[in-house]
Amino acid sequence: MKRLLKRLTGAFGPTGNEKRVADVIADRLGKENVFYDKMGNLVARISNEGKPKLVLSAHMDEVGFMVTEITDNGLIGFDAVGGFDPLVLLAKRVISERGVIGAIISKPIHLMSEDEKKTRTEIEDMYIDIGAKDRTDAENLVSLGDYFCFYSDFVEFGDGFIKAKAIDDRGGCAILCSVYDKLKDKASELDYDLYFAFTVREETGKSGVNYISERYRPDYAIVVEGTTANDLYSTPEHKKIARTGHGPAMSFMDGATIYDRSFIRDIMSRCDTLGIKYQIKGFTFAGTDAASYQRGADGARVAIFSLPVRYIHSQASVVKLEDIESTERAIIAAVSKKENR
Amino acid sequence: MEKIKELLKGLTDIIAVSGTEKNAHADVIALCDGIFDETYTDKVGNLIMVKRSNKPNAPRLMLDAHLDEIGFCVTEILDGGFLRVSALGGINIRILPSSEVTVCGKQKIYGVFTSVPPHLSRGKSQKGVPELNDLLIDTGCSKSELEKIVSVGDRAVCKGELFEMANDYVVSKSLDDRACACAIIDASKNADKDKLEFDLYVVLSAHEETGNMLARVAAYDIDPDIAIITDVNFARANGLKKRETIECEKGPSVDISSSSDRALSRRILEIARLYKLDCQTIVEVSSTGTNNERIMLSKEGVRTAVMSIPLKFMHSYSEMVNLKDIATLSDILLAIAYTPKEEL
Repeated sequence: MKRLLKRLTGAFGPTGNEKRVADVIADRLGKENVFYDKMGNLVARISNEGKPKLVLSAHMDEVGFMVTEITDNGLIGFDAVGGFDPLVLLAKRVISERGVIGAIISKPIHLMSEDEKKTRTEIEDMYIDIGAKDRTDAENLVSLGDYFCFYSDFVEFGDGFIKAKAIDDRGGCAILCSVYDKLKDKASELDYDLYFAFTVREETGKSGVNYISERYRPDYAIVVEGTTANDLYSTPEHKKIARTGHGPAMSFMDGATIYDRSFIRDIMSRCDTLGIKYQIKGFTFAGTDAASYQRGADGARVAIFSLPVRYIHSQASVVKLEDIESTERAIIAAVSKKENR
Repeated sequence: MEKIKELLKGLTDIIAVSGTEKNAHADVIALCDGIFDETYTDKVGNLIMVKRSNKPNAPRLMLDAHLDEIGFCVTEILDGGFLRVSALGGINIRILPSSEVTVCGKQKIYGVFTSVPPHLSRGKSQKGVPELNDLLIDTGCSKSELEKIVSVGDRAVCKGELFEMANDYVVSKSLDDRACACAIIDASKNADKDKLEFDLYVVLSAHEETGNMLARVAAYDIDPDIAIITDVNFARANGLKKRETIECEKGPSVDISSSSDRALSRRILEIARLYKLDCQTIVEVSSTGTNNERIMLSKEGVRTAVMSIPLKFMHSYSEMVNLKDIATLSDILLAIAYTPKEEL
């Protein structure tokens, strides 16, 4: 699992440019077992004709940057692809789709006025410096519209934690790959006709899920996502959202979806019977791909497993390996027949 | 250029937050294997490395670069494996959220500065910059485990491995002042003892970033005939004034200042011109903001000049420098060391 997660988080894949991630997944699942749709989603199936259709869904894209300006002195202006707190950007190393390395810069602290020191630097005042001499030099390396993403390695640390970029949602992708491997020869032991959807464009809300809904008309969908783990030292209990080490977070409601109660209760009772850890997520503003499944085509009954991720949407997102394992077990419990769980 | 990059990589990999320079000396000495005749450490943590001229009783040329880098000092070990820290040196807090750190306890451990995801900050005022007190280092360890490894007072530093970018630029942590340390070590390495008019005293000095500038102790001990203080200076960039910056890829700069030796500074510019080496000037009216102000006052006074390498995004873990500027500084320093004292 660790190796798979390392490979997936290391792949370059900001929203709208997920191909390299898809290729890693296709390579892992076997090219003969996957289908690329025309939007760039990747789908695999464990066929069980006659059973209700259930989609397990994870998005492949990560938050990143797109080049919007090249200045006369060779700096690269950019805008965010997906949501960032601008505070996590300065000084971070980034790499472009063509492999050009740079760092996000602004004024050095010594030369800031007192007012500037108290003010947050906004994205429009940040630049990527790649070491280009001038505009022409920069244009040889970077074009308007090029993608950049964080240049951040895979580190294991502390008590079973992992740091990498893009754990949201390559963690979900890794879990789905692993579940597929474990169940692919056990169709007869499953309650569902099982689809695995690896989707595009979640982070900007232009979700690729619509195409999955339209094409497969699932009865059920379980979205496997990264979510905020705000279980930090000074956070009051009610603001922790989700906690690391407590298993996947299930939601009854979030900013975009009221989840299907009977479906959630069924999954919870399956997990309870097997002693699989899960937690209930506190309400947040954000929505997930579950909304697209619920509303898409002729609708679907939806549930979510959210992987608790600290410092989500930064170059150093942090996940506990144990939570990935719990999520995988919970998914298998949710889709397997009672006697085979 | 490849050799300079290799040396610079070795030097920037070293962790030496102000006050813990001594812990780094062995690694620096290993990188300088075979270059110097004598190496010693003084009481306060300066590392002094000497390369002697073949001329007997040669005068002493001191080349100073500070070894210390900005960082943090652990002040509290908290529940859940978090650390509270205070700053050593001028820390830019706005670059810290979600930055990665190395905590130097009994062993080195990895950590991440906490940050708030956009999903949570939405709706709140996003104008301000957090205080260092609001940010914690997440080590992922339990408190009891952490207490076995880390003590209050231990140092931490942002990670920032050296990577090469376009046109011989590199990005790394602690290029302030390892870029200059690299230049003076490289100059010493290239120095031909038969041509040296001076004994070279390379000083990698302590406590610059905290303003204590212990280089003065080394200067007192060495009592140099001439001292050249090398430190980084601001590279010209968007929004920065021309007069307070120098340009990358135009060679090092010589400070023209009321607190350094004017004749020596002019002479260095002439030597650079003579050898066709790029060199620029910057005017620092009353103070150069470097070890110079302490070294010049040593004993009965020392003739000093300040030379700088242009550095982008100073005091971040993504400082940037051009390798060519380091090589040029090394070449100019060597040219100075080959010039008789009387001609300087």
